[in-house]
Amino acid sequence: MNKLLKIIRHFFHEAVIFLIPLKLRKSIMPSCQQVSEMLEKENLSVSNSIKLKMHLFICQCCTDYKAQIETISKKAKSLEYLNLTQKQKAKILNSKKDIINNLNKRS
Amino acid sequence: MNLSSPVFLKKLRERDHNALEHLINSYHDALYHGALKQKLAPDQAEEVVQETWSTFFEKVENFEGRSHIRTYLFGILYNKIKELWRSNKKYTQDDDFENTNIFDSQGNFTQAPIDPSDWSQSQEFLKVLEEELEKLPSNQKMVFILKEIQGEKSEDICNILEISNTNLGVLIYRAKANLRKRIERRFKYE
Repeated sequence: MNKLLKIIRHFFHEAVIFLIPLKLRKSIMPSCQQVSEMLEKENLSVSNSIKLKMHLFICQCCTDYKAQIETISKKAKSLEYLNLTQKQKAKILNSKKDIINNLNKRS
Repeated sequence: MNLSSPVFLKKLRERDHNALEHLINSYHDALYHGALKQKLAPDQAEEVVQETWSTFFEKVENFEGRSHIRTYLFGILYNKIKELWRSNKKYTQDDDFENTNIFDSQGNFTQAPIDPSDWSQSQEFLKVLEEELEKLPSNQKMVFILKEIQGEKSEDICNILEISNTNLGVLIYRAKANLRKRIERRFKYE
């Protein structure tokens, strides 16, 4: 399935390059660099959103780039898990007491 | 006690003992957790939290209450963490790597990114991600952890780190692009 999609994408990519002159292509299609920046923007305008989808439809590089970024973001969420040991919890409590004691000494 | 009330803030500026103690009890644990979530070792977390409080006690008289006290405290904490990263050899940054451009003058990829479908299944992936995250420049690392790992809102991150929304966008973009490239290199050559 993935292979088939790649072939279709390649076919459309070649068709666009063959049929649309470079000047026109540049005005209607963002470059790969612009697409990589667009992927990070939270509020894309409707026209930019369409341009982004058009580019992704024919560009395997950007499709893989997007998939890489999404995988990193998704996997990064699982790094948040923070399970403190009893020793660490006691350490937090002690350090809080130390700071309050130092405060008492200051005043 | 309302921590944002003008009365409480006035007491803080006057170094009222009870107000300061109340503040410590309210935010010490959160600061410590915040430091641990930035992947600091427990000893380092303790050190930066203590330094955060020391700096806060020194500056409290000048605190005008323009931002929430939590934002102010976390701002100090994250600056301390960045200082620690910069001074620690373990976090030496690979600046040359960051500067190598992945796009040519036309804005096309100089090297096609690889299909990442293997990454999700790899047991090594999280380890590699964590290792490469450590090597990012401190600003990029911090915003990545705050936004992608801790899920903080963009507005809160901008307030805490005192950066514009545009700047945050640039840092996040660079952090991800750098991470992507570093991880790709690891999977290509391992």
